[in-house]
Amino acid sequence: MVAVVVLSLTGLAAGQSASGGPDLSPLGRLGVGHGGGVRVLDRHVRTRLGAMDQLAGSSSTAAWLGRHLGAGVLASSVQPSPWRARAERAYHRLHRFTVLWVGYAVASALLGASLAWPRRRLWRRSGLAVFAVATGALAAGSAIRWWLSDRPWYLPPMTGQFESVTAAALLGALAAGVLEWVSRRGWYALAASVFATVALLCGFTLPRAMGADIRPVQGILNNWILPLHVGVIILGYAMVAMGLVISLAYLVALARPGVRGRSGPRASGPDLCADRPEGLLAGLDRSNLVVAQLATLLIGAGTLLGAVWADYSWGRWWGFDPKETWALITFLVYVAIVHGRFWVRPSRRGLWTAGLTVAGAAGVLFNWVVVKYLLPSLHGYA
Amino acid sequence: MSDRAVPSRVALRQRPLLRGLSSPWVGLGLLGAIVVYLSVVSIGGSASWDGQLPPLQRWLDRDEAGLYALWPHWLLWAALLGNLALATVVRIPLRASTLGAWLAHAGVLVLAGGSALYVSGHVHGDTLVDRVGEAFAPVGSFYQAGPAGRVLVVTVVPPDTDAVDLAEVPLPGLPLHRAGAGLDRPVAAGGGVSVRVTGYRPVASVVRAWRDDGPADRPAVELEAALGPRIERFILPADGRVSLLGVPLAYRPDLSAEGVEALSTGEETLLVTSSPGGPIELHWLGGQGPRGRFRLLADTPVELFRLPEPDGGPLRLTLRRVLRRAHRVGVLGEAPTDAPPGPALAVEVRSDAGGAETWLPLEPFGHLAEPAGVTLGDGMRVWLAFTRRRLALPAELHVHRLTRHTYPGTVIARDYRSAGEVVWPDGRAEPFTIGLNEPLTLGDWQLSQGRWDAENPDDPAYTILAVTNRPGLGLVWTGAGLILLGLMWAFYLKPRLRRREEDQS
Ligand code: HEM
Repeated sequence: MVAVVVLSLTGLAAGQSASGGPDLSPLGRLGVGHGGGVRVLDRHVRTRLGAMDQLAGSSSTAAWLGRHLGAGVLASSVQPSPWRARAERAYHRLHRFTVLWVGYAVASALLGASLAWPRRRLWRRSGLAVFAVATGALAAGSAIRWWLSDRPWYLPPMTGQFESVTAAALLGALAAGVLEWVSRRGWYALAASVFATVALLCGFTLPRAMGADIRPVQGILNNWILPLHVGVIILGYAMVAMGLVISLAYLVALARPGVRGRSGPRASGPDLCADRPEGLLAGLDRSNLVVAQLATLLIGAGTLLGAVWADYSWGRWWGFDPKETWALITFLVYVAIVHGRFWVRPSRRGLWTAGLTVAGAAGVLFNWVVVKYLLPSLHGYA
Repeated sequence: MSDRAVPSRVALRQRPLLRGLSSPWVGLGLLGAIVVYLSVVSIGGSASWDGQLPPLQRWLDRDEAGLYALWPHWLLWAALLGNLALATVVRIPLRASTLGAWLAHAGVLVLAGGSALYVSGHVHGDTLVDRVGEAFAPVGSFYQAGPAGRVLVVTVVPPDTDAVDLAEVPLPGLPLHRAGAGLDRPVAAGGGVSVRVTGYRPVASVVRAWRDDGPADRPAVELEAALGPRIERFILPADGRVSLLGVPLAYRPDLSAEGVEALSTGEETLLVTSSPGGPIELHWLGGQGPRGRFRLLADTPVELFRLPEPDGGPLRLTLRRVLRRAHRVGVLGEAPTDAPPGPALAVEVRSDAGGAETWLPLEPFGHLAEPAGVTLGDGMRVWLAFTRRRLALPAELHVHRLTRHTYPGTVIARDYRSAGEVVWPDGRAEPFTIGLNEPLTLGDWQLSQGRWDAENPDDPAYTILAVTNRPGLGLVWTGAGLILLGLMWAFYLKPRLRRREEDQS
């Protein structure tokens, strides 16, 4: 065998430069590194015009950009129409509708008061009215964002942390409205209000950390199954959050002197709800169970839809990615909640459900915060 | 859901073992243990501090997926499934009202069966579609990813024959993150050659270097060429050739001075010759015949010619050393090389005629790797490559176009698409496109878009397609569907059915 070595004085060994590429595989197919530079006046820039106008507090940022970058830079195809520009400015002026946390806080206070004074229907009615108005406004805000972000019609704003948290608040509120309509019990709207207050307050105070800017959807997410998978799973998470509120209320009520142990359907409960057919604890427990069953079903279905998507998008339906693992953990906690109720003493069922719901909520919170920021995950965009 | 416990069908009281094994509390305990296992592995196996490997991966020498494949995990699931099956049969009477529980539990068992098939038969990997000249090279195979895919390809070429003995040797038991002495047993043997893994580094830079302790008599000279301030050192093995400022420079130890005189090269050539015990000479042959003859001495440079400005200066050639048993092997480099550091394997090749050790970097795409060759004393040549298992696809992909689609007015990618033709063994050709969320199914394999040439995204020189199979998938979807059906039945139909059953009784 003849060894042929080709060499020149300018380079003995021609090294092959190893060119890396955007990794779109299950090991990091997030398509990162394709962001536009300043010279590219993209839609992303356009959707931020409103925000910049807000910062500058002056006339249209488009004009400012035109002055600084030369006329004709903003092609007419990427110029927002006056309507859009106005809507965008309004959207940002309202802090992307996260100011609605105030409305939900008021609704929470009124609905909370209706618990203390159940005979006065005014509290409950006005609480529900504020809740309904806030939810309508939040839905409108979400629709405006959808329109401004130029996504395909089948991709509602549910990607990224800001969108998923606000969408969870909205979906939770809508589901609570339906549950209130069906059962007329009052705990669901209160739970959804408290959750929406906290969720929107996070978006209001931490917009940057939560990635509140409007962006085009990453290529890998551009698929009709996104709203199904994400919508179902975050509705499930909203149920978990509502369950947490109800459970905390249950545990607080249980801790009141003289109440411990009276949580079965026949427990009379404190006088707070004397006009109701069942006691406070039993009522809370019943609502908690409804929410827990929905959470079990939705997290199970959402995880299954995610597996279907992962199968044809990444080529594997399950990979113990941290997001997947924590969704499974939450599902298993809920399986334990549903089963334990068969086997614990009837007087302990409420405590069991409330206690494990807190654990399930910790799992969801872990998935939303710790997995998002600390663990490497294929769901980095979620 | 009714909160009333359902009486058991079997008189469990008389069968304490059955009672224990089917106990719901045992089930809940196992569920809790699984939750703890998953939490610990998910955090300890994926979170890294200071850019270090996650601690569990380091301690247990597994990748993240490998941590979930450990036996305690499967044991917990197996115990839970056994408990679940028993509990369903002996504790839940089959009635309309309990059908939800039966459906859900059957679903868990079916899903678990599908998962077991999947885990045991799942293979994933990737294939490189790269541009060769104007077109993309056809692709008919892929490389298996993960620790189980690592193989040593050994090609034995006996002297004086064209027969080639090629083996793809799997490397079970090879460490992953730990440096180690490798496998303590021969991993391949054939043609009188034994191959043994003697070392492993998870992160190393391997450089090819000449050494003088080879198994075969193979002379070589190390020369130093200096042109002005520029100095290059290189090894010229017997029958090797380099180009020195465009002039070929070869080493022919077997040529005598007379032999050189008789050579007609037709072009300007530099020739180094040597004879055992004799001088080492440099012959400068012009197109028509010899132009000069120099004795090469260590540390005494031979000045060949001066170049006109601007390069200027004399070209000097110095003999640095003579190697008797030269061979080029992979060694662990101190300095970073052009290739990014990665796993490396030390392999010892041995036959009756001696042996040699070389380090091999992991070459993800074996067909592109430069195999390391070892020549044994008897002339037997062994080529080695540390790479990944190569598996055939049922058809060949002829990629014609790679296109990146961006959102209008932006450089933000909306899709990466590979388009071309699938050519089946019988010659049939079908058009195909692979894009994000748009896989291609080829027999048992599913191909999806993987990496993309980041340096030239709009005119990519390559793309990498991910390839997987999905055994047991039908069972998985059936099981998951049964679970959801069971949950809905139990939560929303059962209360009504239960009331009806109570009314009837
Ligand atoms: C791991 C996933 C599991 C799922 C998805 C699941 C699902 C279900 C569902 C949907 C029900 C009906 C609930 C209701 O009527 O409200 C149920 C009931 C039941 N499950 Fe499970 N289960 C699981 C694990 C287990 C385990 C490990 C045991 C072990 C003993 C078990 C034992 C039972 C029993 C005894 C019932 C009572 C049935 C009845 O009284 O109607 N399950 N399960």
